[in-house]
Amino acid sequence: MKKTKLAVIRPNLRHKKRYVQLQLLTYNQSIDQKIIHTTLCRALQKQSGIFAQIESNITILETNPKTKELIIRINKEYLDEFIGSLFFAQSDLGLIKIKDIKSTIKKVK
Amino acid sequence: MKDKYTDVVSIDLFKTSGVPEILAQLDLETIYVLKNVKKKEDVDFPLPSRKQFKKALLFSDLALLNTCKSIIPKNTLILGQGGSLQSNINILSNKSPIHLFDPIGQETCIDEGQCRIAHQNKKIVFFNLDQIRNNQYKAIKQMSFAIGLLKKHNVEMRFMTLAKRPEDLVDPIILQNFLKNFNLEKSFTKRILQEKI
Repeated sequence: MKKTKLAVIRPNLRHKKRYVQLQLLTYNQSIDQKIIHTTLCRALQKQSGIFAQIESNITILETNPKTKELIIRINKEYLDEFIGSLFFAQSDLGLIKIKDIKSTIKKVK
Repeated sequence: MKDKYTDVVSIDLFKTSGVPEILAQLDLETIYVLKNVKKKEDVDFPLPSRKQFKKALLFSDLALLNTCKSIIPKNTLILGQGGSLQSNINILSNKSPIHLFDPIGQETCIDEGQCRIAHQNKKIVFFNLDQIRNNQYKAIKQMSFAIGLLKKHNVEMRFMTLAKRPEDLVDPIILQNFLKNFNLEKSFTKRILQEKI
C-alpha cells in the first residue's frame, strides 16, 4: 500500500504545550516512568476529573535518575490544574519541587 | 528576583535528619515552627539555629495563655486551636494577639457573625492543609464554605502545611495553583502565601 503523508496541523489549531521541570526531593525508589505517569494522571483525575486528565495529555519526556529530575510536557490550558494536582501526587512521590516552566523544551534543558 | 514565601511547620519535622537542607530548596523565607503548649514549660523550646526560623505556639486552653503571657517572647506567633463553635468564638473575640488555627471541625462551625468579629479584632484564620490529606471530604467541603465567607468579610487567612515529615511539605508554587480550586485568584493566593504574619 502506498504511504501517504499526514497533513500538518495548522499552527492556530495546534495545542500549545508547556514544559515543566520537576524534582522529586524525597523519593527513595528508582525512577520508573510508567509508575510516575500513572501517579500524575491519577492525581490530576482526582482533582479535575477524567476529561481534564485526558485532554491535558501528560507526557514524560526525560528523566534523570541521579538528580531525580523529570521533564513533563503538558497542554498549556491545563497547566495550572496539573501543577495544583501535584499536591495529591505528593503522597506517592514524596516532596515535589517545580524547578522551571517554559514554553519550549530547549529553554528547560 | 525569586519570590519568597512563609509557612508554618510542626516541631516534629526536625526529628528527621536533613530537614533544613530540604527547606532551603523550597524558597521559604520565614518558617514558623509550631509547638502545642500543654503546660507553662512548653513555651520555651529550642529552634534550629537559622535566621529564617521563628516560634509559633498553639494553645488549646485560653486560660493557659493568660498564665504564659509574660514569658512568651516577642515576634512569636500565637495560635488557638479551633474546631468547635465555642472555641472559634472564644479565640476570635479574644482581645490578645491570638489567631484562629484550623476552624475545621466535625461539622461546619464558622458563620457570618464570627467573620464580622474576626474582621473587627483583626484576626487571621489559619487553615491546616494536613486536613485535606487526612480528612479530605469534610475538610474540602468546609474549607470551600469558610474561605468564601472569610473573603467576603475581608478576614485575613493563611494556609499552612504543618508538616510533620518532609513529604508533608508543599512547594509554594504547587500550593498557589492548588488553592485556585477554592475560587481564589492567583494574585490573592500569592499575596497570602508571601505575606509575613
